[in-house]
Order: sequence, then structure tokens, then C-alpha cells
Amino acid sequence: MLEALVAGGAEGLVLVRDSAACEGRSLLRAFVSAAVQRAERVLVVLFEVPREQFEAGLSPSVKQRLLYRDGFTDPLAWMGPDPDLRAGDFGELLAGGLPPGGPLTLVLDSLSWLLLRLPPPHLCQALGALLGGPPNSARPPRLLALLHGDLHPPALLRALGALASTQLTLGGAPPATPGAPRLASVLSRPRRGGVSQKDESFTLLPDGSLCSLGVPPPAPEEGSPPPAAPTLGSSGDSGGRVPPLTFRLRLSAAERAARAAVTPPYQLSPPRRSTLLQTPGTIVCTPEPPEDEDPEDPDDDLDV
Amino acid sequence: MFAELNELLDASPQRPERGKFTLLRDTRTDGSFLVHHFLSFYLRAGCKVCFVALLQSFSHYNIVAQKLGISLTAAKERGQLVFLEGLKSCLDLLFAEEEEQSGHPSPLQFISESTSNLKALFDFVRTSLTPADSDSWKGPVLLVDDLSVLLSLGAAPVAVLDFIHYCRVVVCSQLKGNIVVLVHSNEDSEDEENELVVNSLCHHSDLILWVEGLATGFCKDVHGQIKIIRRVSLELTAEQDLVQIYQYKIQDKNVTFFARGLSAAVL
Repeated sequence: MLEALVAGGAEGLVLVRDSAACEGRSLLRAFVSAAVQRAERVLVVLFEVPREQFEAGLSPSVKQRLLYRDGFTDPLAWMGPDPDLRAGDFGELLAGGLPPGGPLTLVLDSLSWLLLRLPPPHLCQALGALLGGPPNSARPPRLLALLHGDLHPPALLRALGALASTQLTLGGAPPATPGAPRLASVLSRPRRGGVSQKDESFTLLPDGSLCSLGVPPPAPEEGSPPPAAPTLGSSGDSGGRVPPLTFRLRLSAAERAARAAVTPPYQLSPPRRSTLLQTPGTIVCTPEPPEDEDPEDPDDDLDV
Repeated sequence: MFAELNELLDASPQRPERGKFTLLRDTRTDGSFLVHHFLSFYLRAGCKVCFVALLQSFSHYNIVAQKLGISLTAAKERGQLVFLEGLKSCLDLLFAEEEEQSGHPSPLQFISESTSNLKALFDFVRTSLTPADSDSWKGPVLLVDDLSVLLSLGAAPVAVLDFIHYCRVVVCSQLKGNIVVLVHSNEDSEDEENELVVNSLCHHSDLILWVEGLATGFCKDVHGQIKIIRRVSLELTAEQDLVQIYQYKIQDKNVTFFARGLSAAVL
């Protein structure tokens, strides 16, 4: 599913949600590379990082085909009267400042930067107008936005999630070894309706492209209960978290069969029982030696 | 400058890195020893340093720097160090007579104005670090101790982030210099504004040095734990961040680092 999204299956607003521990810009670059290889025009609007940093890891053929608007250098017009893009001009850019032509992918790095500085209702309104307006040549079929999930309140994240057609939430702790798979939760709202959510693992190749590894294996994380563990408290309160257990209370089917196959030591088979009963036995009795008696009075030190 | 920390960071004053943003973060302990380390490191490396010192006086930093073999007074006189003494500037701004103030706006003028815009502080940094023709310093460095004080002085968190954004543009991106910023962070404090600043800075830091007090409380031989996070993923697409964790003990003129649980007092 993730590879299909990168290959052009995602339309509308695509949110890449990351956190400080699990960065998402490299996933954004994978989308950009795939869009350029499909011969789409890509307009990158930068507010958070300079162009050199965004281009890190992209191939030269991709770099030269990207269009840029620089909102990083002087977004508040502190250094000069005529910056390339001010933060306040972003709404106008969406409303009619996009370059005309064929299919366009608009990349925003990052939406969080704008959300901290512009009124979120106005920004959501501008995004909604762009995505929900009548189709025309300037309307981008795809708007990729990087969103730092740890910088915004949950209510704002939910509002943005309602606008987005696809949300990619990078989760889990970053793997300790380079090249190890990363986890992404894909929440998509297709046009035909409904919502689908799927966890996928993926890895990024050195050339920046994405390689999906499918559904992550259900191996339990350290400290969390395995899937077969009972969900304590889940019957009454569905939202309650299960405390992590270091043991399992239930057996799997294979374990239960293995346990049933073992004969308990107290169960004797009939031949064995008859053998034991018919064998004459002897009883050996060895009396213990007489105990050493202490001649001293145990209450001698009590002075009674 | 602590030699062991240089080894852990693979840094040397002979070859300082360029264009890096370093975040110093302390939780339940005092991370100012890292500020003293980087101040002496960059002065020894021959960099032009702008030190925005909001927490202590000049004499305090000078005494500690002398223990580390650096004279801040001499560095100021030869033009290598530009020192903004926040404690003094605040007093001058609030209590000095108007005619005594010079024509230049105070870098901390946001304190006395209704807007919490930190443009004046940014202009001070930019003016201090823009190299003149006669300068032969290796590269500009901005050092801030500490950023949380700006929030305490009344600046809005977004204003602080704007200030850091423009410093990144000028110092890291245009002048290819370095920025080192100390922030306090305590997740239990419920200080949402401070946590917003800290989390936002974590997103574009190339190196994070996070010192924490021990969860078990004060210890005579282990003063805390340092987590070194190298954000390799910001530069290389397929790489992951490198995290190293050590414990440390602060001594009179040095700091020793050792693996967790391997303090000399334990072994």
C-alpha cells in the first residue's frame, strides 16, 4: 500500500507525520523522487530547512527538475523588503500563485512551521479551498505536507487529519541499526468512501527510494504483552491500557497439545501399576540415634 | 574544554565543524558545564564567538573559563568574543535614564515593549558575527545560555523560535558557522511553552547533548547521565540517528565520562 501511494496512488492532501525521534523528511524525499520519475512537476515550498538540506540524498537528475519557493531565508521580512516568500503570502500562493501547466505535486516543508505562525483556521481554510475547489489547471492533484506531530495539540492534528486524504504516521522507536525497517501507520480515505488503516514497515534505500516490506511481523516489542496475552480490563473499559506482563497466562494450541501429550508422574499405566503391586518389597527401618540432651537449664539466664 | 568529551564527539579545535546546530538540553540537573566546554572549545579553535549570556554574569563565565585555560577578557579585547551580558542589559534597559541610552536599540528591548519580537536580538547577533574585511577568525559561532530565560523574560515561544530560525539562516546557512544553545527541559513541569521550544529545536538539531540527573537521586561519584544523539538522518537518507549514553562526574577542572554503571567508585 505504501509503495502504491509513493508511486502516485495518493491524491489530495497527504500528511507525513513525524516526531523528533523519528524524522519524516526522508519519506517526503522518496515521494518527491517518485513524482519526478513520473515526469510530474514538483514545487517545493521550504520554510523550515534550506534548499541544500532538503536536497541531501536526492540524485542530481531529480534536483535539477525541482521547482522551489524559498520561505526559509526571510519569512518575516526581517532582512530585506523583498523576500522570495513570506509566511503571510502562503495563502496567496495556494489561491493563485501556483505555476500553470501539467500535473503538479506541491511539497510543503513544513506545515508545522506555518501552523505555529499563522492562525490555524485560516490555514485550514486555504488548504480546504485549494483541495476542494473546482478542478482547474493550477490545482495540484497532490499536496505533500510534513507535519511534526509533537508540536501541536491533538485537536489540531485531528482537524488536519479530517482534511487529509492520506496520513502517514511514522512511529516506533528508531531502529538501532542502519537500514533496519521503519514503521508507518497508513490511514487513507479513498474517494469512494470509508477509511482504511494499515501498519506497514519499510526501509529507505541509499538512493532515497522507498522499499515496502509489507505488514510488520507481529513480534511483540520488549516490555509489551504478546498477542496471546489476556487483555486485562478490556472487557469493561475498551480504552484501558493493558499493563505490560512478563509472562503469559494462556497457552497456544500447540502448547496445549504438547502439555496434553505428557503423562503426569502420578498416573501409572495398568501394567506398571500391577508390576509395582506384585513385586515383594522390604521395609528397612533404621532408628535415629538418641538426641543429645543439653544438661543446662534453658531458663537459667532468666533469673526466675 | 574537556578532552574526553571531544573524544566522544570526535571533535577537535584544530578542525571545528561548519554549519552545525547543537542543542544542549538538561533535565533535573545543571548542564552549564557543557556551555563552558563549547565556549572554551570555539575560542581555542580560533572562531569568532557571540555569547548571549542570559544566566550568569561575565565574571562568572570568566572565572570558569580561566580554570579551563581561557581568558574571556583577553578574547574580548582582541575582538574574538562578543559578550552580551543579559543580567546587566536588563537592568540598563529598565532603570537607566533615557538620555544615558545610546542610539542603538538594546538587544533585549522586547522586555520594555508590548511586542515580543526578538528582531533586535537577532540584529545584534548578525552585526556581531558578520565578518569584517580585516577578520581572520575561522568561523562564526553563536552561543546562548540559556534560551529558556527568554521565555521567562516574557518572550512568546514562537518569537523565540523565530529568533533561532533567523540565526540558523545567517549563522549556519549563510556564514557556515555553528550555533550552540542550552535549554532546560523537564517533562513533568507542564511548562507547555518551554516544551514546544525544546521539541521544535530537536527537529533541526544536528547534535543533541541531553544531560539528565540520575533517576535514583544525587550521587557523590556519578553526577548524571549524558545522551549524545547525532542526527545522521538529517544528512543521509538511509541512515538512522546514532545514540550514545554515558555517565559523568564533574571535577574541579575536568569532567570524566564513563559507561553506565562503570564509575571508578563502583569498580
